[in-house]
Formats: sequence, structure tokens, C-alpha cells
Amino acid sequence: MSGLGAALNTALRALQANQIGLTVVSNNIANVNTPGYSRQRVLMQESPGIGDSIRVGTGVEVIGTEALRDQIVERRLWNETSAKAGSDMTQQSLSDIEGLFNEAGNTGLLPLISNFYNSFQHLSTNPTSPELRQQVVSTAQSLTHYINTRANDLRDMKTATDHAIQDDVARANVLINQIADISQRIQEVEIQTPANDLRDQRTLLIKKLSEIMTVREMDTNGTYQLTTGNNRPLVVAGAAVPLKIGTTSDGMTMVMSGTTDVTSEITGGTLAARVAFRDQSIPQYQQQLDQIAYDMANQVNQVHAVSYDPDGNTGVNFFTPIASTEGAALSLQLNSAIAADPRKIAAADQASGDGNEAAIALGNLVNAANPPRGTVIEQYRSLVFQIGSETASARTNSEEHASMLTQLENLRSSISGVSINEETTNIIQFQRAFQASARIISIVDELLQTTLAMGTGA
Amino acid sequence: MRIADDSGYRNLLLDIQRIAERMQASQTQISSGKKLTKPSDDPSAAADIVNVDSERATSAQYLDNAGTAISRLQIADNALDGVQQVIDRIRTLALMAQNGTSSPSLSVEEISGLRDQLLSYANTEFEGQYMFAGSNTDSAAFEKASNGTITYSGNSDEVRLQVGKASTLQSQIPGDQVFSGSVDIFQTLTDLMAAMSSGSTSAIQTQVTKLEQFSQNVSSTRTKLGGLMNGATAAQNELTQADLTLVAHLSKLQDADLAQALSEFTQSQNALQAATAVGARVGSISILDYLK
Repeated sequence: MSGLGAALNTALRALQANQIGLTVVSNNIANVNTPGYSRQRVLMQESPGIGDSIRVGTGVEVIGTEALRDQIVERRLWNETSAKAGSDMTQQSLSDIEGLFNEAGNTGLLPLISNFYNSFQHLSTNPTSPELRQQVVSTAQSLTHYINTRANDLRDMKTATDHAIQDDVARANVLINQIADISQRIQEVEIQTPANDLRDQRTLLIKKLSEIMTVREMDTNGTYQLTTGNNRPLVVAGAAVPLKIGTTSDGMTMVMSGTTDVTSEITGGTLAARVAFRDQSIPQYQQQLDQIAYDMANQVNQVHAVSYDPDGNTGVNFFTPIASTEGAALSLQLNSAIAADPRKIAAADQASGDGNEAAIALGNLVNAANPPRGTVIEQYRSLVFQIGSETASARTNSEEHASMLTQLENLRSSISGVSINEETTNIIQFQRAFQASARIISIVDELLQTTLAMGTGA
Repeated sequence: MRIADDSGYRNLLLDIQRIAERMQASQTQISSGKKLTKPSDDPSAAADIVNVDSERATSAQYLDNAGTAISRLQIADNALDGVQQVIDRIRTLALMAQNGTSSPSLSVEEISGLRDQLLSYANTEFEGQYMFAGSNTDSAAFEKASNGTITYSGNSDEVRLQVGKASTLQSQIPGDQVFSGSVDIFQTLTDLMAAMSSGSTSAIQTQVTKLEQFSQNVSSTRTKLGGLMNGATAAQNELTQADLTLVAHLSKLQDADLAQALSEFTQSQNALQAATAVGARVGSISILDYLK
């Protein structure tokens, strides 16, 4: 049966449905600038028709709201976020090392190396001059001080990076706990209705976590799982599995999943970048600086120890002997006996102590290779080249990831982002439908009044 | 593709940042005058600069050494010039004595004085170093004993200085090659004075012959000094020339091309203006403007 009452009901439902539509639009507009927000739309469907011979529809009903989100795009976005955060961190860290070995503006290690070897050549012009001997001592001390300081800087960087790794793990664990909580709530809410807002929040939290490391999400058949890039659990069925921190035998921080050391398998994000910086980059530059200090000390000592000072003494090392390459840059020191008495510098190659041949030979070491390695200067040259090219490629890398991230964020926006123009159009749509339904109600009201008036004989 | 409101702002921000970075880079070039302010600006140029800087610093020392060598050789040459004049005078006195045209006692007295003058030439000092003492430069080259005998107390080292990666240059001539070499001039003078006192013309003649031989030795030593000075000057010229080449190379490696930097700066400035102008209009066209 279809009558005026049915028309009224249908109109009422339409009013309600379009009102909900307007509310959803309003929510979208309100969240136009909210990070992580996915636009929603109201889901309407027609109500089942009634009547036997003449079947008439009963209007519209709202079956829910839907968030427009492409989980594949979200996941790609997380991965790219990891890559970007990691490359930014690498670039920043390498720039710090680059600053240590910046030769621009005539400061840096190179002038000190040159001055040091030149001071021997200068001494050769007057081997007994106390001033020239003092000059050798001073240039040697400036050089050792500089190398010690740079070695210290590298060591401090390593320690600072190690602390930052601990901070990263702590921050990751806070996020992991929050993600577990939200996943729990999503499960509870979604027994009834899609938890759009909670999912947005979780997506945003995972994006934040992705800045620290790459994660993987599996969300199938109601079981939710978040793991590291290498499948170590972080959230399992609504329960957090926080990462742990351990200490390696050489006192460095290691990241652990349960009792397994996962430090080296973490990929992406600031955490992996910091681990690589601590375990690969810094040791590599430490090693190069150590090698320079070691070769220099050995070369100079070898010549100096067989040469003679003006008093005919021999067998004295110029630098305190260094046993092994490791830590050489930290321990490089001028022999304290020479520092205390520059007359002990051996400038002569004959037992009488007369002559300048040893001073010349020491000065010429600036051009002497350390087979299979090159001269000290050549070694330093390749260090500068390496830090320069690594920093440059890290910068390019970071710029590329910035572009790719922007592209993906735009892709996400094209799916989930709010467009004011679109929402405004929706407003008009819902508004007109609301107005039309209201019009129907008023027409039905008129018709009913007319019908009622028929009985009064007016 | 569906365009959401935030895409426009996101792109704009990225672009403006990029342009600002480029602008800053050219600005740094202009203000510092260098296109390379850190190794990552151009790693291989930075590495080359290490080489060039080191080579220049070492060469500067070589240049210094060559200068020192020239000064020393010059000092030695001046001393030998004095020596020759003294010898000439002694020879004149000896010849006069031979001819009997002078008073032997007066001549002997003068020669004795001239012998001391020769000693002081032989002990010429430069910057606190005895120039004719071999490498034993901090004590006098010749010492006069109480009985008047003068002996060489230096050594026979020919001191050399480094003036190039693989080249050294002799900067001193040991006194035993000049004053007490094939002719020991101090002994000769002692003998001459004895001969003059005794009045033996043949004995005087023996010593005059030695004097002439000594004079020739000094002459050839001065020729050698001249050769060494030429060598040092050539080394100096070579080093100076090489340094000019290195400076030019260095400039190519690190100096900014100001014209290019300025044009890049202007370019990015224009781009920034355009981007910000467009940015101000992002989102300014809206359907809302057409609804009442």
C-alpha cells in the first residue's frame, strides 16, 4: 500500500540521510588540514520497496560511512618515509664528518702536515739553531694535537650516535605500544562499525614509526600484525612486542627482539642509518686517520732513530712509538724527551752529529710512499675525496627521496585527501536533496490538509 | 588524477625549498668567491686541492732553501773576492822583497796582518754559521794556536739543501777545499815570511809560486760558486714558474665563476618570485567564490 504516509516517511528518511551526508562533509572540511586524515563519504542505499502489485520504493537509508584509503599506497608511503628519514640522517651525519676534514680556507690538517715536514727542511739550513729546533717541536705538537682532536671528535660522534640509537629504540617502543593499544580498540570497535578515525590514527603512528625503521603490516581476517622489515614481531594481535636494548662485548648498544640481536638486520629509517654510521662510516674514517698517524710516526721514527743529534746521540724516536694502527690517531705524541729538549732532534746522519742530511731525509718523507699505501698526503687526499663523494651522494639520495616522498604523498592525497571544491559540491548536492525532501513534506502536509478539509465541507 | 587541496601546498613547499637551496648555493659562491666550500661540493676537485696545496707548501720551502743557498754562496763569493785582493797585495809585497825594493821587516809585519785578515775571511759567518767549516758550522773553521799556527777545524762535508722533490743544491764549500787544500795558504804565508826575513830570493820564489797556485784555486772555486748560484737561481725560477701554474690550477679548481654564479642567482631569484607568486594563488580559486 502506498499513501501519503509512505511519501512522508520516504521524505523523512531522505532528510535524515542527507543530513548525515552534510555531517560527513562537514567533518571532511574540518579535517582538511589534519595530518593522516582520510576523507570519508556516506554510504547510502535505497530502502527495499513495498507493495504487491505496485511496488514502490521506500526511499534511502544510510548504511554507514566509508574512509577512502588505499592501504597499498599507505604502505608504500611508509617505506618511502623510512627511506627519506634514513637518507636525511645519513646525509646529516656524513656532513658532520665532512666538517672535520674541511680544507677550504687554509685550515685543517693539510697545512699542519706541510708545516711539519717543512720544519725539517728549514732545520736543514741551520741544524744547530735552537729556534729552528723549537720550530720543529712546535709544528709537530700542533700536528699531533690536531690529529688527536679529530680522532677524539670521531670517537665522540660514535658515542653520540650510540646514544641516539638507544633514543630511537625508546621512541619506537612508545609508538609500538600506542599502535598495539589502537589495534586493540580497532578490533573492539569494528565488531560493529568501521573505526575510520582509529585507523587514521594508527596509519599516522606507523608513519612516525617508519621514520625510525621500516615496518611491515599484515591485516588479514581480523588478525593484525606489525613486524620489522625482517619479520621480527612488533605488534601481534593487539599486543606490543617492544624492542630491547643490549650491550655488545665492546660496549656498543645492540637492538634486540626478544633475545635475538637484530641490530644489523634493521632496514630504513633513522635507526638503520645510525647503526650504519656507527658501525661502518665512523670506523672507516677512524681507520684512515689511524693509518695516516701510524705511517707518519713510523716513517719519521725509522729515519730519526738511526740519525744523530748535535751531541752525537742516536737511537731516539721522534714520536712515541705506536704498536698498532688501531687507535694510532688518538695516541700520536711527540716523544716527551724531544719536547723537553729540542737539541735531541737528530738532524745529522753521521756520528759526529754534524751535518743536515737527516733533517733533509725527514723533510723528504712528505714525498715518501708507505707501500702498498701512498704518501701521507696521498692517503689524506683519498680520505677527503671519500668523505666528499659520500656526502655528495648522500645529499643526492636525500633529494631524490624527498621528491619520491612528495610524489607518494600526492598520490595518497589524490585518494584520501580532502578537496574543498569537491566537498562544497557535495554540500550543494545534499543541501538540494534536503531542500527537495523538505518540500515534499510540506506538499504532503498540504495534501493531507486538503484531504482533512474535505470532511468539514468548507 | 584527483587533486586534493594539500597537494598544491606540498609541491609548492618542495619547489620553493629547492629554489632557495640553489639560491643559497650561488649566494655562497658570490660572497666567498669560491665554488668549493666543502669537499662534497666537488669531491675530486677537493682531493686535487689537497695535492696542489701540499705541493705548493713544499715548494715554498724549497724556494726558501734556494734563496738561503744563494745568500750563502754570495757571502762565500764576497769573502773569496776579499781573499784574492789580499793575495794580490801579498804577492806584490813578495815580489818587492825579491827585488829588494822594500824593507823586509815592514813587509813581513804587513803580511802578518794580512794573514790575520785571511783568517777572518776563512771564518766568515752568516746567520751564526761558519761558511767554510763544512757541516761543522757552529765552531770557527780555522783556529789559530798560541804559536801562530792556523789549522782547519771544520770537516769536509759539502753541505747541501733540498731545492726540489729530487734535487739538492750545494750551499757551502768546505774550507779545506780552499784555504788548506792543495796549498795551505796559512802555512805558505808563514813560510813566505820566514823566506823574506832570511832574504833568500829562491825561497821567496817557491812561496810566490804557491801563492799563484792558491790564487788560481780561489779563482776556480769562485767559478764553481758562480755555477752553483746559477743553479740555485734556475731552481728558484723553476719553482716560481711551477707555483704560478699551480695557482692557476688551484683557481680553476676552487674559484667561483662570478658571472655564472650571478646569473644562476638571478635565475633562481626569478624562479622563486614566480613560485611564490603562484603559491599565493594556490587555493585562491574556489567554488566558494561563486556561491552566495
